[in-house]
Amino acid sequence: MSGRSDQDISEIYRGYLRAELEAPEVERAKKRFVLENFGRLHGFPVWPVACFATAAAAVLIFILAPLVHRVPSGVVVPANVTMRGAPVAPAVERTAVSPALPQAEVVPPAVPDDELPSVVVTRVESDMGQVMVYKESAKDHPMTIIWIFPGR
Amino acid sequence: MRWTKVLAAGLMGALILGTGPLMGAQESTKVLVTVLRASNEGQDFNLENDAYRDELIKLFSYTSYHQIGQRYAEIPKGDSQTVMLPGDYEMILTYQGEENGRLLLRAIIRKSGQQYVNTVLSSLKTGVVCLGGPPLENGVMIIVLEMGF
Repeated sequence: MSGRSDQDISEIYRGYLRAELEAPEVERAKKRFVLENFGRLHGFPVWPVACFATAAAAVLIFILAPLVHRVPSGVVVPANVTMRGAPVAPAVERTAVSPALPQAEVVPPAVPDDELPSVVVTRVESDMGQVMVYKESAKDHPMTIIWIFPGR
Repeated sequence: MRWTKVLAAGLMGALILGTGPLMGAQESTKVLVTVLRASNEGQDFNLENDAYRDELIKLFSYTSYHQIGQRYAEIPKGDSQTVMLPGDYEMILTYQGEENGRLLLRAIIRKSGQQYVNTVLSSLKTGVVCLGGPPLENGVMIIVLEMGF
């Protein structure tokens, strides 16, 4: 009988506590307490982190863009002309010529760029004779040769 | 929070400006034109660029190679430049723009109104082309075009 009374008392006590803790005033007080004391913990600094990440990306793009866009393959040798026989004209002249081809036939790449030939001759013709196109696939200096045989 | 929005807008602008060159097509190309005369007179070599000497010896059977001129040209898209060559030849280079990531260059060698060669070259980044065969002073003329460097 005594044990049963203890159990009943415990149940009553738990129910009382539950009712107290779940009371709306207590809930509001808990939320207010958390906001007042730990509110800063919930304010994760989203903007500063986002800004820092964007700035880092922008700096990377500014550094990498010129490298990706065009990488010089060697030193440009200044024109140091050794004249023999008929000289090359000293100045490069600009003249109007027939308009550029409207559509050059370029086959879209179906293989990785590394495996494509560096130069493709999309069109070649001559009024003077036969033309031969040859590709030298030297590893260091791949070269395309267009040779004209005048009068043949 | 206003300053963060201003900063973010500025950074977005910087991003757009930074990626601009990657998205835009190339507006001009650079071409190095080297003019050689190959013949069987003597055994002299006069090439400023030694890298091509061995290749030329392998490719052709001439005994003598002389570099007689070199020109550098930067050609705007859609524009043409004429390079005067020895023996009254002239070469007209036209940069036709970029297609599928390749530079399109048209090269014409002509003399007295006759075209020795009329070709369109499609170059991936950099490329070397030898145009040869026009007769020149008991030999032949070889023009080395280095594109897109």
